[in-house]
Amino acid sequence: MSRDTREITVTVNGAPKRLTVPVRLLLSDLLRDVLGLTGTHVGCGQGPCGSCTVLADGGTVRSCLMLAVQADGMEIETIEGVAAGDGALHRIQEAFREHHALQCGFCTPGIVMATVGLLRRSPHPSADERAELMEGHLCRCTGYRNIDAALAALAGEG
Amino acid sequence: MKPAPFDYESPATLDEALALLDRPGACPLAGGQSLIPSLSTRRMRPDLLVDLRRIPNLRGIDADAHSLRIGPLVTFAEAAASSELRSACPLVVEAIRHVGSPAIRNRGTLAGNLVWADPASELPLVAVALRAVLTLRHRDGVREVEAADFFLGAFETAIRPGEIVISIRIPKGATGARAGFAEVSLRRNAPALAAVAVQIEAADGRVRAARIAAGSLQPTPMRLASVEAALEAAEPGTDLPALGALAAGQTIAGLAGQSTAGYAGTVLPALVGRAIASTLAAL
Repeated sequence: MSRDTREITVTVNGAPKRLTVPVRLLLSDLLRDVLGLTGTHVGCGQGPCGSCTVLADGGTVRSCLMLAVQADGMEIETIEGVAAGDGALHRIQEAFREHHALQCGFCTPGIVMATVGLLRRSPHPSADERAELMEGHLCRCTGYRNIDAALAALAGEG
Repeated sequence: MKPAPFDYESPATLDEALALLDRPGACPLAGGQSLIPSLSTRRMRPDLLVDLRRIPNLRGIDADAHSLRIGPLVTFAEAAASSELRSACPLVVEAIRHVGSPAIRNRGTLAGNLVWADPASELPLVAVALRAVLTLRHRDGVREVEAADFFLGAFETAIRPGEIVISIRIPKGATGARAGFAEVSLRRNAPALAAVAVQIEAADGRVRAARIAAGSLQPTPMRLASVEAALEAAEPGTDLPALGALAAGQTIAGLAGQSTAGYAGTVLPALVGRAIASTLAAL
């Protein structure tokens, strides 16, 4: 009955993939080590930091808090899928650049993915909604003010 | 790989899951937001993970005349968005605002949170305050346990090997019930150092029913029955936050010998007053 691996079907940034994965492989490690999508950063590996945040079926999730097998049948979106194919920055990335909302950039992919999710649900997020987003992300460089300035600009308050 | 090796099954039926869970070393997986980090640190090393996600009928919130039943795979995000829960059990929705972060709430389940029984978690005290009843299934049968009897210690509950929660039943509050939640924590979504949950039904200036519990101050949630009784006996016009704080101070004074009594003696009355005030503001 022991089964060390499972076959899963998962769509990553629009591309369907059929993969055989160890059952104990984390989704974050599937993305980074198996698929080479190293834009998803792993900070704490325990949930609080938010760096590894991706979208699963449109909702934000911590990829370090999911097994790859739990993503079977899901559509996963990572930071690599955000910018246009021609390399032009997405408007969220542009706003982060404009407002100096990153320094070292370690937390940035997670915050950008959370912002993608938030703007889809709520195109003009209120200050409360933006604060709620930031609750899920630790940034040790910016003090959050510039991140919120970027988010406010995206919300149409800039 | 971070987690230690385990076998994994994702059965399609509850009967299959219960048979698998009856094996030594088996552990159920719902949202995994507490379990997976414990696997990653290898604090937990189960032999078999039984993923419940494919089993039908474990999702959804059902209502009958007297209560709401929350399925074991209902996430915090789903519960927070439930209009039925918001009107009949507003305390649940109020408390969820303090649980984890949005991404954690998208995956974490209420049932999993209760079974994890973290003393610093917000849901256990809500379950105790609202007199929730957990239905536990084992391959050999089913039983019900009141929330007040479910929590035995820090990370310790009445659930037995092979059992899973198949529903959380919460009695409905009267129409117009309101809730308040107050906690001390390092950040809004960080584990609580102390927390108080309040739900009040009021009519004609009187408190018809008060549901109050405190968490994080001892290993299990503390139902504040004397504070509930004080509010329910109060005449119209009474300063309820002050009355509640006073009653809470007397309760904590009766818990001499607790290692947290000094801190609790200061923080509990303040939080009770705050939570009652925010409940009244919502009325």
